[in-house]
Amino acid sequence: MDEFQVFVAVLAINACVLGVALFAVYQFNKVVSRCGR
Amino acid sequence: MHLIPQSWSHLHILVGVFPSFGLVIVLGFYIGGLLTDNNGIKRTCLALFGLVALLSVPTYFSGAGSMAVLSRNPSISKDMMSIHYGWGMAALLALVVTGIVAWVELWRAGRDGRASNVARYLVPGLAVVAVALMVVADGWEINHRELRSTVSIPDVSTSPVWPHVHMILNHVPTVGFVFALAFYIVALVTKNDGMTRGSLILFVICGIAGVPTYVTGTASMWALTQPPIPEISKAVINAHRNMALWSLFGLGFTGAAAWAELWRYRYFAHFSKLSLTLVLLFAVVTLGIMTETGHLGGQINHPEIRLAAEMLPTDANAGISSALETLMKNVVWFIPWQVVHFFGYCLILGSVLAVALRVLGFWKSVSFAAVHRLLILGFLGVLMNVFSGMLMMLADSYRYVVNDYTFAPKIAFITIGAVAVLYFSLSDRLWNLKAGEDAPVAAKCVAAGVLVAWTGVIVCGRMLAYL
Repeated sequence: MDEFQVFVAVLAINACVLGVALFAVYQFNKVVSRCGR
Repeated sequence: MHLIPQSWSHLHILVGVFPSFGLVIVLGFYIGGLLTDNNGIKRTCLALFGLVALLSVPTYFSGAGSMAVLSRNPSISKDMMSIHYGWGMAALLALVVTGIVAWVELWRAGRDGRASNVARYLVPGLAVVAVALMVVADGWEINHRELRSTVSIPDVSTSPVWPHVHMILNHVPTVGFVFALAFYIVALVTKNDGMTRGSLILFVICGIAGVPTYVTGTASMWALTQPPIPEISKAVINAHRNMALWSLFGLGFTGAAAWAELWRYRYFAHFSKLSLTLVLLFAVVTLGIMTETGHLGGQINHPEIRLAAEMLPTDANAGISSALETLMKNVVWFIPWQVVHFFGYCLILGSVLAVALRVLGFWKSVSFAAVHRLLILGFLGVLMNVFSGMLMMLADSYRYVVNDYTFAPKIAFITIGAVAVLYFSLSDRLWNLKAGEDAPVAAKCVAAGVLVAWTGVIVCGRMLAYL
């Protein structure tokens, strides 16, 4: 059970952290894309 | 918390650090103003040299008052106080001369409309002399007997170097933050873009300095409690480290918001009012948290500043730090954050490698501005790793900071690597580097240093499990 809990926790926490990070990258790039460089 | 000092010793502890650390920061800003020929920065710095010099008055009187009180304490070395007094007087004299020359130059430059060589060479020169004398005056050891501890138990004792380093390092984010906020407010009021950039850089540096400050603080906790030192309470240390954790978050938020705005500024050459307001908000809140953190830190080893009616903490396991420690000792929480840490490294090294190799001469077919966008990935990697690394360290801080030989170099490499990467997001020459052009030699040296630093972080981090 412990192994399964660890597996689910790895998926859940990393999905949340990386999801937020990639969304931030998308937003930052969208903002600076208007500048043309 | 009592912000208004109730004794000479308390006033001396509070005021005494501002001339030394403040002078270094104002000097750094002033040199920046000279290099960029920004009159607003130069005038503000000349005014601040004078204001810092005014602090010599409360510093002197509080020092004399402290000496009168402490000389009745048999555990305080009178010889050490005399040495501190002698060099301290010389330092204050140099500080006063620096301030007078700076204010005369400020008045003269206002009248003539241009700066003279006095401003260019004499003021910074005098400031360097004053700082050097302040370093020699070093009064910390008067009351911190643990720094002279000769008791060492193998595999138990932590080096007294850690408390010493922590005492010096913690003033970089704290005093630095006060000056960064002062410059920032002046910059916003006078609408000086150069000074705004300078203060944002200082916020980022304070944020970076927060990491080694927090880590050396943890090492100091073990140095003062294992083996225990009489008169030092682990509960008081615990209250300080709980607040220090919030300070680390505050420094992180302010530094991150400042860096993001510096990065965005590159593309538009003007600041976003919303972002600047956000940085100001974070900075004010963080300064409040750091003030409380500093006060709790001072209570650890300064019984002379405690008030009779003040209640000291009694529970060494109360608060957020102990709760996180318990949580992170469980593998269900530790392993996911370790995986986040590895993802963070991938983002940092991947983006740093691409940017540094372009500067070193690889992929000349792309402009620097094209790879500059990748820096945001590395920045997010740093945020992920500071947060996950802090959580992982709390799981077994004694092993990391005391028993692992590669932890200290790893933290040093992180600090060096992060400050060096800042150069990539600031350099005008690099930003204007077009496709096919070669980067300046200085930029190549920084790029090589960045690669060495981040490779060192990876190697030292991996070796933690074995050395």
